[in-house]
Amino acid sequence: MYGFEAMTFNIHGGYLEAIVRGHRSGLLTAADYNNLCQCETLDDIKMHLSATEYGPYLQNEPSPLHTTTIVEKCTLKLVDEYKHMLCQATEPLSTFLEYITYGHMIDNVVLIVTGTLHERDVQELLEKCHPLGMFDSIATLAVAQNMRELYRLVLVDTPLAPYFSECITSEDLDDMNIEIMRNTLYKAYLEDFYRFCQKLGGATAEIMSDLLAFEADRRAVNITINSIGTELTRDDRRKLYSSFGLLYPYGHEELAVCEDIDQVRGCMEKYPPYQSIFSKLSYGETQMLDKAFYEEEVKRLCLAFEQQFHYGVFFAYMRLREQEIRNLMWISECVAQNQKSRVHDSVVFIF
Amino acid sequence: MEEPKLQNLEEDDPKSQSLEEQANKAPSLKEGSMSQSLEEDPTPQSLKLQSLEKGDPKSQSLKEDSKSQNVEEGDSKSQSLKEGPKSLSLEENPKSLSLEEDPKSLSLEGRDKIAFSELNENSLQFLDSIDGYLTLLDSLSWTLRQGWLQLASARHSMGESRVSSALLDLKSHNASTFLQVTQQSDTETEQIHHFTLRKWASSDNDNGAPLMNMSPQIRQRKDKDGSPPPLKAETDHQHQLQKERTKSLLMFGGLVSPKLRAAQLSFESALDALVEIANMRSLMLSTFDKVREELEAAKAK
Repeated sequence: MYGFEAMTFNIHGGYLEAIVRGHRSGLLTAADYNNLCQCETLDDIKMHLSATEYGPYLQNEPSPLHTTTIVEKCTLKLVDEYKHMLCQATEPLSTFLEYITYGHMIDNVVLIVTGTLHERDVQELLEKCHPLGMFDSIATLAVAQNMRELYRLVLVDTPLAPYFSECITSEDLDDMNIEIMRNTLYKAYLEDFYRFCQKLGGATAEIMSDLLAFEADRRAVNITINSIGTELTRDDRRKLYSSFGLLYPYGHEELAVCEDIDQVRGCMEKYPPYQSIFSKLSYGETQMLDKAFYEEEVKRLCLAFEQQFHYGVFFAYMRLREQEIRNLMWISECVAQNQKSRVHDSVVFIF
Repeated sequence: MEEPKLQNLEEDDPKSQSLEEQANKAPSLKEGSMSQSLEEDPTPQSLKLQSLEKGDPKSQSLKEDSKSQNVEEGDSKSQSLKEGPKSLSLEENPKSLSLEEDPKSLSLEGRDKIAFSELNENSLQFLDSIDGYLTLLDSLSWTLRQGWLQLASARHSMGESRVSSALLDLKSHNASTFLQVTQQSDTETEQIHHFTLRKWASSDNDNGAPLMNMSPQIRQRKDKDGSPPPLKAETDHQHQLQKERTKSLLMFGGLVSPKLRAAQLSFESALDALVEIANMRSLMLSTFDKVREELEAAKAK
């Protein structure tokens, strides 16, 4: 019954909701970002981060630091927090938390398969995988020659198995097929996650529907823009769009035939939530589109914390931490390349 | 360190100082302003030229020679300044002195004047090539900074796992860009290296030869068949180039961000700039050799 979660939620989810709200208060503030943006070197960034929750993860790193090291250690913190919550969670929250990591799992599968196609060492590829997306037998992916083998040898025993039904072929894997496989898997994952949240019902369904619909719409726009000028046909492009979201189905029909960024803009401006995003951009510009989408996403994720007794706070916290790590990565790159004037091009303030 | 000594010597001789000021004010004489920039330090460009000269022991030795000449012949220096500020360049002073002090050598005047003008021309070419070299270095630095930032922006947008060195293709494949080095003979003994970049090998060619980035050649081939419009040939060429660029980005995935494409274009421009820098450096070294030879020949006289 929607509205009566307060009676029973805290029995199984109260402790973890309190934990995640405590973690949320540890997110970096605008003052922290202002200090970080004024750093001259990566060691200065490390010094400023030592006063935050990232301190214990960076304190033992020797100089000279590298930007990938900072990102790696900050990601480790997120992984530790996630694992603590997962081991404390009961059903259905544990399944919900696992769903959050399937996106990283898909990215890791594609990384291993692509790297193997390019004759890279498997160990080197495993080091580059996201820790949230690791699973047993991931290294066995390197032996597969086509998608059918990929499914039969490895993925049949993973949570991604149900998502392969739409993309199993015997064609040999190449760069374009792998990209289509990635997007097809992600589409199937998003739709499955959406159905799961709908089944949970209540405030979780309401809040997660909004967040996942925004994710699906953003992916549709990114697929459209990235496929402009490539060999991807309109039909193939349409097949990669998810079957839910504000743009489904009429927005997808228009996006499928767009040939340049201005046509995409014309299509998106018909939808009021996205009109505000595209109004920040000048005609023909795509550089600031990512930042505009991230800002809108952060706004929606922060709103998820305004309501209690739902699982959306866990999803929102994970996404906000990932955004924070992206911010730290961008600041580190600008400092390392001595381009501090460009630091505000991509930093999205959370609070 | 050489400039203060030169200035001190000139202060001792007020006549030469006033003549030098007149020479420096002459706007039409580019040589005068160039030589002034060599010996005084008002502008950043001249600072670069000075730093280049300070770093170059050959030019330092040339300056020391001219300085020692100034110590020995103060009045004669002012007379040479009266003739024209050309004498304030890398040229040796005895040549101009001989024109003034020894009237009996007027029979050699024509030969000396030809050598004089050749030396000036080579000196100008040398200074022009230095200027071009420094400008290209600056442009390269800016282009590379832009490219690296765009690459970081693409990594930020697409994710660390999608833009990383772990995805670079280690399979054996043909080069997409070729550098051709030719030797051009400037004189009987002088040879200059010339570098030409040939970008984007076409996968449709059997021998893997690169697409010539020279649209006049394509126009020439087509003209034999009858005259299709050159604009269409240019459009096809651009389309082929775009196809090759997209193909090289496939290692990062089939659907990459526009930021990664922009980074690719920046690095491509940087490669073009590097080849231009190599050509400019080759020209610079060649003209410097000519100037040095002429100065040594003048010294021997």
